[in-house]
Amino acid sequence: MNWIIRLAMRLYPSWWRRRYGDELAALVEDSGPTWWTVLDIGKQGLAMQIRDYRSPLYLVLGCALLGAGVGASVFAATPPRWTSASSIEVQSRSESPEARLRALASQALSDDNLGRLVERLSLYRTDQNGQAPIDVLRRFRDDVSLTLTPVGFDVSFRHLDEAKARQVVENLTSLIIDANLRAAQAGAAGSGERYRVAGPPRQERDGPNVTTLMAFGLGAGLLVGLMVAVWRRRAQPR
Amino acid sequence: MKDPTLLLLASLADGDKHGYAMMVDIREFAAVDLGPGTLYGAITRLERRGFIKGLPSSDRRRPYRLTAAGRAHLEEQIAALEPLVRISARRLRRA
Repeated sequence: MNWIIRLAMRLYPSWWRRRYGDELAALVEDSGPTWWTVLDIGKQGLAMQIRDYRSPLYLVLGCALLGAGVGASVFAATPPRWTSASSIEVQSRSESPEARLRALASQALSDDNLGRLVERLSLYRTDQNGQAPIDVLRRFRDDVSLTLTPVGFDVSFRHLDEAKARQVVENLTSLIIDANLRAAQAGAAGSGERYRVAGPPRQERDGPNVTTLMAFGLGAGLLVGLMVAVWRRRAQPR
Repeated sequence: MKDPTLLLLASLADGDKHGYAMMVDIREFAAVDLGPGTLYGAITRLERRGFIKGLPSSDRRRPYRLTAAGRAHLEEQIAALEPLVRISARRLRRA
């Protein structure tokens, strides 16, 4: 029972224990420790912590809330990037779909086609002023992704503007389907494939959402608060 | 009446006492069992407000004394309670 009483007494702020701890321990000895005593001491210790503005409890909670606030601010300050993706289903698939996709991509995503898209949709307008067109196209290609899926392939594009990301994906999908049709008319290898767009493009916001960032900030703040509280406690003269 | 600070002031009005003596005294005159944590919570608040003061002690059982401010506060509290007690008693007699 005594060790439980000692544990309950640890709930009081350290300054309080230094001033009244010995007296309270003597009183518990005199009155005889019971479970009711444990509850009474635990309840009062917690109440004392809550009333004491110097309590490490406030330091830890304050740091945790600050961390959550920083997380929310980071989310608010970070411009969102959107990924728009469209799935194309391939019927009568060729034997080497990867090579076929590469060949189509080189035709559909030619410099001319992409340059026209950049101009028509005013993409990367802020950068274009000081950037050579070749750099704009390189950046455009970096934001485009073509990936094989079990039923065909996905076309996706990342951009700051949600609507433009969607428009680009719709245009790229059309360009690829047109390239496939032209290849079929020309009788190119693997041109027997037939493409079908699975549905409208899907839109996703990239990066962590506000809940994740706030939870991360809260956890980090809690950890920092605990570390500072422990450090402060060790630095205090005994 | 179960307010620990008032019970404690009433106990010290009778003379200096340490924690255990206050606990026994309060149990006798008010039939209230104050836990050690509750008692020391009240002592902390009263000492901070200057209503009681701890006396030097050679062992861990420090006695406490009611100060002039504590006495005045107790008198004020009793005066505030008096009409309530008087009126309640009168109405109960009438009922």
